[in-house]
Amino acid sequence: MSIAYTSVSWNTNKKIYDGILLGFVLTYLSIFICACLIIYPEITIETTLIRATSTLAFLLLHVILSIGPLARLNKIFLPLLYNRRHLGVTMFLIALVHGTFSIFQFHALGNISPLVSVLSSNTHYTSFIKFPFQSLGLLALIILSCMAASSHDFWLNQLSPKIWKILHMGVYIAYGLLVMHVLLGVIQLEHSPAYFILLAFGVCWVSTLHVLAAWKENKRDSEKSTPSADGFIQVCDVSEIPENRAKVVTGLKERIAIFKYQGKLSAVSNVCKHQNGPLGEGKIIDGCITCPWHGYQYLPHNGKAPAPFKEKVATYNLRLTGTKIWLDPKPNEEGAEVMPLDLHL
Amino acid sequence: MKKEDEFYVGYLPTPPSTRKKLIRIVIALGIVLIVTGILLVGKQRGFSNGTFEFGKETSLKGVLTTNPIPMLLIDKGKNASGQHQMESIVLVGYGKHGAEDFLQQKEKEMGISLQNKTVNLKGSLIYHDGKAILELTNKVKASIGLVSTVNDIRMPDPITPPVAVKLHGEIIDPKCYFGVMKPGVGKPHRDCAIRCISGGIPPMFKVTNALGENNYFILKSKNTSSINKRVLPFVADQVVIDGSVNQYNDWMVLTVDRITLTSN
Repeated sequence: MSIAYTSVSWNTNKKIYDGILLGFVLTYLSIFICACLIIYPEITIETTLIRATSTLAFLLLHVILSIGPLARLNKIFLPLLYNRRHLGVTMFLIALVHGTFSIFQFHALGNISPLVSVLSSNTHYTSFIKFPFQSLGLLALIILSCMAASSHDFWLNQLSPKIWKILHMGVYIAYGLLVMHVLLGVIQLEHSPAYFILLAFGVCWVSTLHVLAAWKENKRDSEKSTPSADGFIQVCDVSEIPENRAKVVTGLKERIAIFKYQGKLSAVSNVCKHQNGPLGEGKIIDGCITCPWHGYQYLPHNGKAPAPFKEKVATYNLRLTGTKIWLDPKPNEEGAEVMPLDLHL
Repeated sequence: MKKEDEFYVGYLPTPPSTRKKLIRIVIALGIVLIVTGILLVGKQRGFSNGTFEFGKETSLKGVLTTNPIPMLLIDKGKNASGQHQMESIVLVGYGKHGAEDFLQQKEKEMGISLQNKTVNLKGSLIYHDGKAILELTNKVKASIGLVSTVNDIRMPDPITPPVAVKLHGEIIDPKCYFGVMKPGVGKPHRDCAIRCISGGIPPMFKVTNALGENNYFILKSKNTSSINKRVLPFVADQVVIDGSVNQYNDWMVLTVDRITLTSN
């Protein structure tokens, strides 16, 4: 968490994350390039670089798209999500090298501008098989560049988390374009079925993870109770919530996190103001609800981030009948104080 | 802290059990990605052994002709029956440009027709499969030197009479195919080939026989229309060309009647 904008708020984990990432990128490129030059001594260095960067960027994109659902399915993957933006920007820079090199190689030094050439050399836009696959890659690169340029928290706050999130969902459009870029491009030249099999596996892998994560969440969302006359719904027994943890329930529309801590219960919106992270999968640390994604914190009784931070989430009213917890699914204003339920009374 | 209660926060020290599991995951992920990369390398279809002597300048002396395309004819001596053997080096311009504009510009500057004159040309050689191309150096003044002002040789009339043919193959841009790009054929190279042929590089036709051997044909229009423009919609596709073939020295020239697509 930070109150002032800095280019990167470095900490030990981010440095380790980036160090490992850089080490991996250099190792992959070295191995790919050396293997190419050894196995195919007749290959050109331009082709080697184009293929090394394209395969690396595409593999990293699969990792990026897998981290989100994996983290929803198993908490152990959360540390990979913490610095995913650096992974995304790294992937974009590698893709940019691939795109720039390819545009220069295939379109520069001709009789028209290289960018015009990308869109106008192959004009078979109405044919599936002959479709100009390079234009798909260019479009994906433009989407990824918008995402990389707006990846900083400055833009998150300027655009609002909702708009920012919508903009960054563009990664799925970019992924679709890149799958077609590969399918209608290099796969049409290569003889080995390995390329098609790997591409199909990648698409299936990403799709399956997303379906599983969505199924898990939908299952939880479908567990709804009938509201009582005053609108409260029965949620669960107190014993079902571990200390300093939460149970997530679905209210009217939004998910709500009910936390148990120090013999008390409080309910807040499940959606973190930072990047819409799932607060209910977080933990109470130092008396604050701590988001599992990037560690943003909120006080459980009023949903406000501790000073000097200014984020705040909606709070909810609770009622206890015996050991059963009842929740009013109508949200209070963001940051509204609600007396925690005291389990000792 | 109990194992099951471990909670990772990015700006706090990583809990030991999480760290242990994370190390295993990261190592496994790295191995999977690198093995996939090696698999992608190993499964490539391979590359031609064409050569582009990029950055290396070669000086060649020969007779310049632009019929049917810009070429430099180099006398390789007489054969057993006493006839001159000529090697034809196809000329192309710098980047994705043909040599014709450059030669016309030089003729204008020098005030003389270079057709059938002996000249010294400097450029970078591209060669593959017994065929050679010279990319004229991009130093305008240094790339051409007139040796003789008289016509030294005429492009011979077609050695063989025209033969009607129907050939199946792929239209290529020879500069990329013979060594500048790898791969220089097929869909991934289509845009580049279109750009090269649009820029004046003479299109050629690659025909592969049953033994897997390639034959190359210089494409020529039946009339004065531009063959370059005509072939653009068919570049990098499998096509059938109906036409007639003549032999000019060590090149075959295919005069095109009709081009038909054989694939979608």
